[in-house]
Amino acid sequence: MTPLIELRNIYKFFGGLCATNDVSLTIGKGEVIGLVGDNAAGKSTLMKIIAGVHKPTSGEYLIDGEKFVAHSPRSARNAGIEMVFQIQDMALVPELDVADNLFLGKELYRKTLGLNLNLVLDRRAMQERSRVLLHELGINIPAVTEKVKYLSGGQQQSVSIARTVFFDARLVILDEPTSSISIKETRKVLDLILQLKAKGISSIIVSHRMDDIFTTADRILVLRRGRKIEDVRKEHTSMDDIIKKIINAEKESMSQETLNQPTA
Amino acid sequence: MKDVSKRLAQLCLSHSIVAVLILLSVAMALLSDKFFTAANWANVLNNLAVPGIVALGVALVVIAGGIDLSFSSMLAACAALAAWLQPQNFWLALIGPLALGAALGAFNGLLVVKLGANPLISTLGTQWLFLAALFIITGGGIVQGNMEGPFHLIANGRLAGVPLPILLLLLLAAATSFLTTQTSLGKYIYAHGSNNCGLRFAGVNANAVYLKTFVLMGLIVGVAGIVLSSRLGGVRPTEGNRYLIVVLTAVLLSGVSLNGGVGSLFHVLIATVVLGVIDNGMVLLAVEYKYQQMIKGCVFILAILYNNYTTKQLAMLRVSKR
Ligand SMILES: Nc1ncnc2c1ncn2[C@@H]1O[C@H](COP(=O)(O)OP(=O)(O)O)[C@@H](O)[C@H]1O
Ligand SMILES: [Mg+2]
Repeated sequence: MTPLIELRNIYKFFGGLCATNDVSLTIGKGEVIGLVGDNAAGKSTLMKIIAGVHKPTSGEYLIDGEKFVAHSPRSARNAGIEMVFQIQDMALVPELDVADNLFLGKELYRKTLGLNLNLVLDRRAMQERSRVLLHELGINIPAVTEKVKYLSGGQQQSVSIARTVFFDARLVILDEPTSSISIKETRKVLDLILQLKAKGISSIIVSHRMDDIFTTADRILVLRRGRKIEDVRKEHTSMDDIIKKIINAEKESMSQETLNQPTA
Repeated sequence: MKDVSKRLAQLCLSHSIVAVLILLSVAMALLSDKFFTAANWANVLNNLAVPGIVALGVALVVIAGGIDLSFSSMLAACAALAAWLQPQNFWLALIGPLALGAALGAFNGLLVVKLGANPLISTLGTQWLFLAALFIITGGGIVQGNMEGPFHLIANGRLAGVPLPILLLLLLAAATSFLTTQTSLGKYIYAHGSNNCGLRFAGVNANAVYLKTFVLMGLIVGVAGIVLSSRLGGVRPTEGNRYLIVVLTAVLLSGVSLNGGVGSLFHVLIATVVLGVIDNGMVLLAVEYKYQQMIKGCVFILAILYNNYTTKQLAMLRVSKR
């Protein structure tokens, strides 16, 4: 079966800095990938390449086995790739209510004088469908008519993720989705990722919390200074192993740095 | 329970301008028996048709997260053009000012949207620019139109006993309310003011939304220009300046947030009526002109403080509710 996403020898340079160094990976349909690594390992950069935000300096990017050339967030989204941001640079509109946010950019309209003029918003239909979707995903929100700014961080994150389902996502990219929400809410967001998986939607989750990774991921990838140093199925590894990989890798890179400095 | 009281506080804060209008009207009715007469109300509303219409347009831009201070000069320019065209052709005198308003709005919009200019500063600049251009074109004198014919009727005619300017004001208030609450463009205007990145992220052309808002405001100012021209007959280049404070006061008083994303066009209408009642009250109570100016200045300052206060209180409700 062709994987949903395939990266081959991807490099990304920022000036002289190699943020992504010869990374190859595949993401299967309905597969959840956990991506870990120390700060500045290049996790966000890799996510942004997949989301079409960054264009790789070199390498191949295939979706459904076909080359993805038009690097833009919009064309990635057209291919079914959605990125959920952290709440601090969130993509929701705080002054609009939940239903208005879920349907932002894809509004439903009432008929005007029996014609489809796309003039008058059909708020009732959008609210009803929002209610159904949120219920389906087990997202608990006081009312779909509540302004997003009155929701908790976890609820906002859940709405962001639910929105990707509305956008017919096939791959959801979550860059540290639980970094600024409570532990109780974290659990809900993780459940949501598993719900997406049950719907056949793939996801990549970046997190510093091993718990997040081990509850959701099928496969775990470790990045270090832009390089992929581990790519292993969850059942073939353990939390200790992964943490060791990250820490050892850190020691290694430290010693490398000290080695490199005199020559530089 | 706590939620209910909070919701109530939220409701009271966001509709407080309606209470202000009621209290003010009751006070005026007690102070002057002329206040609650049909003739007086027709007079009040008739006087606020022009600033009321302009305030609707300015409020749209503020909700979208910007501001347009050039409306005074735009208003004078549209009115002058109407006065100039009106002896030649009635329809041209309607279309011309609307087109000019839209064009000036687009000019402001392009400065802000395409060139990234700060709207406060750049529209202060265009206020001067448009006014100076008007002085040059008119030579600084009055642009005189005819004082009769169908064009004269716009500001002076009545329909079913109601002065036409009042009907126009109500019509535009209804239309802009409809736009902001029932259409996707209206929703996008709020979204742009609240978080334009979010709007962009949803795949909406946020720049186009912002630009359209400026053009829409220009069109609305064009309508006000037609009414003003019809009322005055002759238009001086500085004609718009006396509306500067009253329009901004109305927008601030209505609870439209200067941070964008918040406000109701219905409240803008109510806030304009409040200012009209204050104006009318000062006349009925025979307040001297110099004191009237001072009171207006004070109301403006109060409006800023009031706007600040409600915005903050609403924000606090949000924090404590988390
Ligand atoms: N837009 C950018 N311009 C220049 N350097 C960048 C940019 N984005 C990331 N980097 C650099 O690339 C490296 C990897 O960053 P990032 O992908 O954000 O790491 P992570 O998400 O794993 O913490 C860092 O050294 C960072 O400073
Ligand atoms: Mg990161």
